Amino acid sequence: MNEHEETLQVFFAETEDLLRRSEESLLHMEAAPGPGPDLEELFRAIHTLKSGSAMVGFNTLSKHVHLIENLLDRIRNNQLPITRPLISFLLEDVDFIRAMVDRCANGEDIDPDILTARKSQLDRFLGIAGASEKEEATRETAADSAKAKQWYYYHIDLKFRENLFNSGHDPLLMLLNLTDLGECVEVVADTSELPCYKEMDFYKLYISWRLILKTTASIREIEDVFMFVKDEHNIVIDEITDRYIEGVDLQLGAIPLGEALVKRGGITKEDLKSALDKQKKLGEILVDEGKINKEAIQKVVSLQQESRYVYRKTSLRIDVKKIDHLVNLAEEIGINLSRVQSLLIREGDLSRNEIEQETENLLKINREFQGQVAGIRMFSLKGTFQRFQRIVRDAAYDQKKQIKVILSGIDTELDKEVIEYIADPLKHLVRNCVDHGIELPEERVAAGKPAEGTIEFKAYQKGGKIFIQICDDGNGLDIEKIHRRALEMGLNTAGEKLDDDRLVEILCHPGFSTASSVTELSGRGVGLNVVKTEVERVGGLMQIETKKGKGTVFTLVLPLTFALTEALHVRDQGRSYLVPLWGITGVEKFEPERVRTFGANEKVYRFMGEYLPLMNLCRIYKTMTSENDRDGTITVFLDTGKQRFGILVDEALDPYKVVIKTIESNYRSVRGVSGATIMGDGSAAIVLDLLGLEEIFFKHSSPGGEV
Amino acid sequence: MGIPQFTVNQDAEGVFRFKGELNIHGIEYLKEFVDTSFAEAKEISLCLAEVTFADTASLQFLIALRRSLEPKIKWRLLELSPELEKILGISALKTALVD
Repeated sequence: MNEHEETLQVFFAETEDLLRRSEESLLHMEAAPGPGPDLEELFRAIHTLKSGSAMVGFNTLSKHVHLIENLLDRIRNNQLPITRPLISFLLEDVDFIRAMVDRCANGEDIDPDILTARKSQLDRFLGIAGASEKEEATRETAADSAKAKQWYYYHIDLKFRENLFNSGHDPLLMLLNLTDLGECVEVVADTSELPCYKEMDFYKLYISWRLILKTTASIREIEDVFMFVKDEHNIVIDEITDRYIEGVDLQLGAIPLGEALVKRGGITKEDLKSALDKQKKLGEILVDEGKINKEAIQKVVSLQQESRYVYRKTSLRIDVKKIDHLVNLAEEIGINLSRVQSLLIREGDLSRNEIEQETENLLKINREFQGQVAGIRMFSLKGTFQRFQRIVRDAAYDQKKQIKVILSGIDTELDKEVIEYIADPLKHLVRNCVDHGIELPEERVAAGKPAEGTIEFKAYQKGGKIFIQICDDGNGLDIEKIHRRALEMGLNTAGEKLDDDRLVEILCHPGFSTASSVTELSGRGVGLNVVKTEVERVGGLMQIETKKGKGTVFTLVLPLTFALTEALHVRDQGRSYLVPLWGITGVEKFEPERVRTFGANEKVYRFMGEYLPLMNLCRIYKTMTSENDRDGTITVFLDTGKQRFGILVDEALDPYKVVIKTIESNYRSVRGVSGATIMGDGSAAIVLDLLGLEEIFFKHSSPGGEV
Repeated sequence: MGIPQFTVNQDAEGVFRFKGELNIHGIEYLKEFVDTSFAEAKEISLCLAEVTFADTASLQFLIALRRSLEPKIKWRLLELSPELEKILGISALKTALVD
């Protein structure tokens, strides 16, 4: 990847971040209209996006974002009130900019008609400014006097219409006015449109200009110079302070020579196009020479586009502090290894204590190193939740529903890969809540509820699992209807009770839907089974709780990370197992007098004042033999968040941080087993899946395979 | 036709000396002058030392005129007033007229 491509990748990653922040600010502004930190945050994000896009040469994008910046400036100056249509427009524009960025990423042009239509809409908003010019001038003076002296650089593009002279204006006077405000550090006059003397209409203007102005003036003061002409002529003013450093416009290095010549060399776009048309593309040359056919070239181009797309989606932006921490830890490991090496060289007076001490230090640093490496993959759920907030907002608007969104636990971190997996399933649940959960305002009022419904997105960590909940205060699921439909589909028997677990099973059955109509959002009967499947693919589980008239709670229980898990090493019947620490509530020596037996083999064990189901691990996995069919000596108590139970093992050893390897690729899925890992001594250990174990305990499922 | 705000005289060396303001109001007059005075010229020498202002219309007129000259006709801009120096500097049109 060359430097320009790297710059582009950074730009794309930053842009997504900026757009997400813009969306977040807009949603906050809608909830609490008025100038404030959200408006400032939005302004900063848009301003950065404008400069960034100009820096990488996406000038059409930059110009469009510049217009949005102007609009925001008017809001900041109380010239434009914050209304719901305005917020909707700006949210749509965030999507529009995102689409523009995608097109730029794919090397596609932006349709000028779409751009013009968008600009017209924008102009309409700019046209409804409320403040008088006098008020504006007063505000400007106050703002300007408060502003500290600082140099700004503006790139000004002056393309007047030919009839400018008719209205008594002269560009020269405007240029002179600009020099009153500062210094024109670069001026390029484009005289390429000037016709020959004999054909010339002397009352028409044929010259255009591009210049860079160094000034302490604000953009509004610059705009004022063109106050009487800006509406009818093409005047573009961009602040380029961020990229104009030491008298050099950094953008010039990032754009192709042709564009740079148009910008600074005085050639026109037509000159460039004409020259480029004469130049053949690499693919055409190769096709002409018979080296390759068009289809093969197109195939590689598509692969390149796909590769760039995947790169953008799968690359991580890592905080430099995290990297620095890792570098420090790596150095510490190096130092400690050197110390161990020097101890070993002193073989004669080798002290076992010293070796043990150094090894312990190494292990400690390595544990921290592993934790930090795993942390690199962790990202907060903030961005994901904010996207949902937007989905709710737009869907509610479409369906004329009033929905308040509450976000909690947005800083909860989850593995990036897990986030990628669950984003779509969660989106479906969100849409389900809006479409089927929250009622219309009049229905809510009739039911004695506030007209405005609530959807809460909640995330929290418990042990080594992340719980994500989507709770709505809508009308809840219609259990009777679900029951009837389940009967019709043969999924349920008459009289069978629908508890929460059975409800999940039925709702997640492929093709199950009680919706009378299919909407854009949900109701096609393909939703929840896909959600459940996707969640289970990442080792998670979905729960549904519902109360008629009160609402529904969808809970996803997810692993914190794919990469590392902390687990207790236990041994039973000569085999090693790892029990994830997140589920362990206690480890005790087994005391037979605390056991109560029911039926043939049902045992419960008293732990902290309550009796919990208890099983020998060797019996679960059928690893016992007739010679050693005995009870274990250590009890490990577990809590999955839903059920509590205990397992009996022979020995409990140390906790480990382990990398889990799936066994599915080499064997097959086994209930109660999430994978395997290699221990320090080279032996293999089974990593237990506590949610799977819970099913074995409480639903009497079998592991379905040998361990 | 507007009223010209400049005068022009040809000195003994054949140099056309402009005085006053060159602007759009006198452009027809300027054109008439150019078409009659420069028609057969082998060399066009202009002195703008006493021109106090030139607007965009007159500057683009002069540039178009210069570009229309056949290669055998010599174009010489002998002297510029300080005001004109400033205007040509700001508008970046000096090279189109002087070089």
